[in-house]
Amino acid sequence: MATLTQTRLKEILTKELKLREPRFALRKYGTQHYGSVISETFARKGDYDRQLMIRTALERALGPMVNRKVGMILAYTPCEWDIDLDEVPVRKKAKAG
Amino acid sequence: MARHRPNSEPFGEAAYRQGAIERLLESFDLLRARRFAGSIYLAGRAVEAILRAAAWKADAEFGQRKKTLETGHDLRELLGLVRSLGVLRATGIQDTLGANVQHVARLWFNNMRFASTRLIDARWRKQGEVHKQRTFKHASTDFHDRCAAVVKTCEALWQP
Repeated sequence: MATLTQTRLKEILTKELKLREPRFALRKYGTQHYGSVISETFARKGDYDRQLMIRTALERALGPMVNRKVGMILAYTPCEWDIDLDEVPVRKKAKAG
Repeated sequence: MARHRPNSEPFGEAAYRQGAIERLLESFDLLRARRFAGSIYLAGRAVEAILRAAAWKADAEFGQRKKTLETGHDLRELLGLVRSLGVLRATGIQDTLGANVQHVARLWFNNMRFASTRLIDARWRKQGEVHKQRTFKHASTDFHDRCAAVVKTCEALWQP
């Protein structure tokens, strides 16, 4: 089975979905790619519709191998992704001993 | 004798996060196939998993087994715990995420895993979630989107 690289995955999503200024945060878990894609193209669309766009594009490009090669790719707009982290607290440390 | 599982990982933050994302994709697949009951059940489970991940992330004592989670599968109690640990204090996050979890918690229950589509449909009608102008499909899609919003917000918060 042909290997699916992150570069190829980014190309497929960018081209097939005609993404405007996309950013990606992808990782591999087992044999599958997971992660997030960020683009203004997803604005004013619900999450189900965004996923439908992504899975349809991947199925068109990769055929039946898509479920073995690609897990969940979460779709964000830049506003949803770029959360103001100023007020996020640091992890509470466990007590020693 | 215990079987050797070379790739086994302990249940903790990473496992709950991964589980949440996988359940959400499975919920989407079922929704797409118009299998609404299964989709609803798994989307709610994704919310539970991501809230558990939040608790584990915020308090190392869960991972070290010095503390046990006493919330069971109650999403409102899990939300309360996560809030008390200070995980959701990022600007503008707490209200939106809290509202989404409250919405999901009103409609989802742990025993949904045994429930038929007809039972959930009837229950949601009683709760006013499904009515003449709002089909079960519409309500299921909205429910999925609310659950996805919770998982995505946490994932965005924890981006490297």
